[in-house]
Amino acid sequence: MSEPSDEDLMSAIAEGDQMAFNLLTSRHLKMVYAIALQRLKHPSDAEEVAQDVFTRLWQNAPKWEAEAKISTWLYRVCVNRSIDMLRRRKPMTDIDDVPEIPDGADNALQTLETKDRKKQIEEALGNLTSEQRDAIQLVYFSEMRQQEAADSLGLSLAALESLLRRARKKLHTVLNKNYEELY
Amino acid sequence: MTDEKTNAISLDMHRFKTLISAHGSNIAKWPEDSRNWALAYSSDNNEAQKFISYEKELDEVLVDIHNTTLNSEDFSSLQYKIVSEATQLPQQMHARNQHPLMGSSIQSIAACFMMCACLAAGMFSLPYLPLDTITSTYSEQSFAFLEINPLSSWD
Repeated sequence: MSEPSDEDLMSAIAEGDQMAFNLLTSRHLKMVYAIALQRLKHPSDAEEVAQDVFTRLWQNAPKWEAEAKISTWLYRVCVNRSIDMLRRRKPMTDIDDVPEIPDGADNALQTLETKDRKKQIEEALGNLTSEQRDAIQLVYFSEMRQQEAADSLGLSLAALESLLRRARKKLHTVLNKNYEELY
Repeated sequence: MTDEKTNAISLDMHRFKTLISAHGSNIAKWPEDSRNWALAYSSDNNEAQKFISYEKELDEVLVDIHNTTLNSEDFSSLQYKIVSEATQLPQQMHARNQHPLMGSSIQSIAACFMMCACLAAGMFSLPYLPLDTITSTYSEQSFAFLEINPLSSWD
């Protein structure tokens, strides 16, 4: 028997089905949490946003109109809630919380040699635009199809591909020197 | 003929490079309409394989970061917390469940109409009441008619 679609689960949730809510949450929690964490940088804040997003889904399920994809709705609510939280937090931002900007070209070679690739890519990910990070998250790590991801981000498919290409190029320059040569 | 073949090969390679530079080394995650073509094209093409291994290096690091950041055990407890707390909250009412409310509104409006109709009927019936039922002096009667009954001139 095939797995129920998100829409089937929403219909069940609208009737108060907790098992369906549990299944839908497990299906999308990682995506919501990852998007929130990318913006907020603090796991506890990301958890709070994820909890708020799914609580809204539970509460509003009976009014669900099935016009939008669940994943698209979750993404949009998550981004909006993360922005709200950032606005609330802004005056209290500690200087230690500001992500470190990688060093310049002077000691780039030395940095490459001393830090491991993972750390480098993590830093490079932090320097991507939030739109580029979201595109990576949605396309590579969620169950979304390319068109759904493009719709969620409010982009055309071609624009999404271009966004991903630029993001990967930036990440490649951290890992390899020969991106330009190869492409 | 050879030129055409060379052009076709370079166009295919251009298409492959365009796709892999955006979607990464896992062809299964590429747009559906390109997957079969890409699998067939790359299976016996050394240059395509070179691009795949180049992009795979980045993808492996990205997967590693993703898995480290999103620990499965932490997610189980977060999921439990979300589901257990959210389901304690009431769900907002569906539009179709709001019909009883709409019904009561209609009943209220109907009651208002009934009351207006009663008032209007009362006003119209006043001029036809026998004068002896009104126990007041002539001047008081005239005053009362003028005050109460705007249709008194129809008599």
